[in-house]
Amino acid sequence: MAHILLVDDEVAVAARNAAALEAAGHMVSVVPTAAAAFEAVRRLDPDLVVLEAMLDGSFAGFDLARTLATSHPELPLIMLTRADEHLSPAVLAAQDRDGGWLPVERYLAKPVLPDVLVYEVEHLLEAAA
Amino acid sequence: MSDLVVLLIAFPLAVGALLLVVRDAAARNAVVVAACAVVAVATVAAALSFPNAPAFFGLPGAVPLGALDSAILTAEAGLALFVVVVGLRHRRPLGPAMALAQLGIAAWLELTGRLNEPDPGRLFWFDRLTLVLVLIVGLVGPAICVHALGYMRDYQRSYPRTRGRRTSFFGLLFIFLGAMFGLVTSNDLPLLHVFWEATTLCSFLLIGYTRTEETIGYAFRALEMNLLGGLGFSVAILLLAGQPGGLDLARLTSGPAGSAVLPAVALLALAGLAKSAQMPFSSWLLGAMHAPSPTSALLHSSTMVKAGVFLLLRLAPAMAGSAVGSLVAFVGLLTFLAVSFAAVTERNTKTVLAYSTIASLGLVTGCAGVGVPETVWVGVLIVIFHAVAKSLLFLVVGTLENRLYTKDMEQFDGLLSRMRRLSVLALTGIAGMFIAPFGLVIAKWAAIKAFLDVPGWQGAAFLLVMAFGSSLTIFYWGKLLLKVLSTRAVAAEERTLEARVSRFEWAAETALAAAVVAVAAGVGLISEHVVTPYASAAFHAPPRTMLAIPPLTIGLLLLAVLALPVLALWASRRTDYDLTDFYASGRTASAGHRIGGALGTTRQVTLRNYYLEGIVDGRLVFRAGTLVCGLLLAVLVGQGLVSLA
Repeated sequence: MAHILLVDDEVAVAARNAAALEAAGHMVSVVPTAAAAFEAVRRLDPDLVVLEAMLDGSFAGFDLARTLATSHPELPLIMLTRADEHLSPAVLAAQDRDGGWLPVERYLAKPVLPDVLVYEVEHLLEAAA
Repeated sequence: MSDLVVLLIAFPLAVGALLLVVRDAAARNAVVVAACAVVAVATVAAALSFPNAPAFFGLPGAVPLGALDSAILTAEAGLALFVVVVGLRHRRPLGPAMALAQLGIAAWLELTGRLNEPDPGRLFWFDRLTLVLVLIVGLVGPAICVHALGYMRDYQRSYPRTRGRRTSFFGLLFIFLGAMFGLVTSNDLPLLHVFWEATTLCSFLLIGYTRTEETIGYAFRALEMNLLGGLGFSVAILLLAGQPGGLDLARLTSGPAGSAVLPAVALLALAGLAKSAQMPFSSWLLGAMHAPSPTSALLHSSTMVKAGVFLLLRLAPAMAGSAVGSLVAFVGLLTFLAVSFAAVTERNTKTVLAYSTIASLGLVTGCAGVGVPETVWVGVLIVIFHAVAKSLLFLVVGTLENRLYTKDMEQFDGLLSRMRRLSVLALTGIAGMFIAPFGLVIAKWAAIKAFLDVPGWQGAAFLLVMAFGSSLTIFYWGKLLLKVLSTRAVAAEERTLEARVSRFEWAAETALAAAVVAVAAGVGLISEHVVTPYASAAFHAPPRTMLAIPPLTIGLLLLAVLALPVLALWASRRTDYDLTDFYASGRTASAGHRIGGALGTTRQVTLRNYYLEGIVDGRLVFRAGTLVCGLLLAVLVGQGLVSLA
């Protein structure tokens, strides 16, 4: 059993994903903002974080991922996001790089089936162990 | 002709070298698309200039043979050095040892002057089998490279931490294409061996693309097994050097091998078995599935693994009627049976496709081993159908993987409702693989007919394996087919998934789907003008006609392959689903679809495929097959050693 932190302000999506992860036997905490997420990582010490890029009405999730990658380099991060629909072609082109464009293990564009997220989470936990 | 063949080899090599230094994504896209167009046009030109009779030729212009010898030795040394460096860096000494042994053999032959001077006018051999392989490499290959432009962009975006670089990826794809063209056109065995080993190295580097510990392990497994085959190839050259005309592939395979060259033929067959992932070498291909999907489509289904069966088909007349031929046939058919069994228990779609690839190659291997014109006719047709349909399926699964982030067949529920266009493409590929009476089914029927004529108990054994194995293939294809075909109510946002698929991917997949239909329509023509004449020429006797298909039947065949995608399109228009609450006629035990069953058990109600859980352990069957085929090969090698002594 692992402790997963979900950072998402889409309540319905977060609830569905949390239910799937809990059904797979994990403990799940959900927070809706970047600030709360940073605080939760410090306080709860999760084993893995799944985070949305679109937080606080902007792209705060990207900064959160970079901050967490610096402060907790061993903590696996999965970005699960709707950001692609809102990024300009110029930004998308700038992200068309080999490796290192964002310090996360997996970048998943919504919609993602909950079972698929569970698989990705467990695969990363296994790799981290 | 010779100019075109040299262009087909040299041009992709040059483009590959260029792509190794092009870092800008837009520039890379332009170079790849333009180069793919050139390769495809040159391929068609080469096919059109085929003189309708086997052609032998050398290098255009006056290239001194000494220079060619040194070039081959230099290339061998370069390849060996590379293996030594990476092998030592990763502390895997087995590969370096085998590479050095190969280099030692090449150098010894060269320095002692034992290598027969190759006939300068017979370095290359272009006959109808070459034509088939050149068309596959030159038309399917570019389609996959174009597809990879879109696929790799999304792949790199979704794995931001991967250490792979697209510069090396595309460079290697093109270097591989050049080596592959060289492999299928070479007639001089030392020249063929260089290209053979070059494809092994490309495969190694592409499997280890992400450079994680896991993929590096799989890359080395593939390298070591293929180098073992390559070492067999080298020893075969050593045995043949000094025999009159021995290093000339066409002369070697012009009829049943005498006892003097049979051990060398057996070693070449060993190289072919390793390359086409026949048991006991099958596990490398399963590991290779961890490479990005375009690699699986190009190297590990449509071309490189085909090089193995290509060599076996070439050797078929030499192996015919010998113990070597029988052993090769047994290995091929046992592999077919064992991996078909294993595939039934697997839910990772890419692994199922890999098993099915090994199974199809196993059939071709079996056909080559039996070694009569009829089975070789079947083998070549399977090579054609499989190259087109399977590469399409690998590309579609690659696109799915980048959109749905999964290769698990069970997550493809309602695919037709979620991703309509992609489902139709997948269905075309699946139809090409197994829907009667199209494609492989014709080939399998003809194989059964041919096996009936194999004398003695062997024919009966082959027939049983064939019938039973084929029923298993229907089982696993049926499961995949119905997952893709299933419809359900989907959320509006799920219908937007397809909008993100790149135009590179659409273009490549549509082209390959068209190729599947074209091959279906043209099966009669292909048989009449390419495959039948080839089998006749190889055995100096025509195959008893398997296929004299009247135009009406061809029309019906086409209808059969198109019916599935067209009906699916019609079915996918439905959106009015009545969603009702879950009900099973039992006592609800807990939330999440659990019901109380008989004798106090609690059962989970699921809507999923059956993988024979608790009945068949796929991995166990796989290991058993590997063991049996390994023993068979040990017998083969032992016999060879005895006959040499």
